[in-house]
Amino acid sequence: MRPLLVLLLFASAAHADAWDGARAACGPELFSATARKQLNYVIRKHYQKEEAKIPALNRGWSRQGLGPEQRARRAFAFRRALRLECRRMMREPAEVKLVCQRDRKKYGDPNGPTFEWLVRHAKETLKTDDLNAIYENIVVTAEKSNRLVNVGVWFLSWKEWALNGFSGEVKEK
Amino acid sequence: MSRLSRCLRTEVRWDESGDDERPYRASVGGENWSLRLNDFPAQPLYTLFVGAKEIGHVEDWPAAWKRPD
Repeated sequence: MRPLLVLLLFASAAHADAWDGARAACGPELFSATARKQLNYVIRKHYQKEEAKIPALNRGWSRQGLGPEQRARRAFAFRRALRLECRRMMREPAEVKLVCQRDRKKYGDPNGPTFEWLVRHAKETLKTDDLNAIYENIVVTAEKSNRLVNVGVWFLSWKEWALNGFSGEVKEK
Repeated sequence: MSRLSRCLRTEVRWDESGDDERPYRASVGGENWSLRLNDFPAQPLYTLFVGAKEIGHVEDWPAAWKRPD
């Protein structure tokens, strides 16, 4: 009985250390004692469902008379809050740490692109200084590009199901 | 069974690569495997490569794979 207890205490301490490492890489805003932990697959389905609301929200903001910059900032804030909510739901501290390290290197921020990064990126991609075009691009681009990836994932997941039984976790190339 | 399914069922001991974009690598049967980290949650967390060939996306860590110590 005692060796089992020692093993459990050791495993618990190691897990706490792993979360400390993730906290150091990501900053405190990514952590919540009340967030419900889920599989990555479930988290991403939640992200897709929520992000799909942006076009309707954008139409509502337009009806309210908001300009391109205000709508782009709202879409950005919505997407970033959703990104953080989803990352708080991740179960594995090593993976939380990895995504934060990746984002810090790519965007200069552990929790994803900043609004300024997106403006710079859209300028380079669209090869324009037309701010209205850039702001419109920020509202819709991520939604469009991710939709393309995800349609591929869903199609190939069903192919996977047809061939091998559904795992819901993979995309075959 | 597809190649990706076979890969997910293969016992693999991964090592850290030191590369933030592709943080894990492994040698499996003489082949070089690597895992690319994607823009999660907008995209699947990992993409598996065998050599230079993209095999597919991996959402959750397979039970047969062992993370680096």
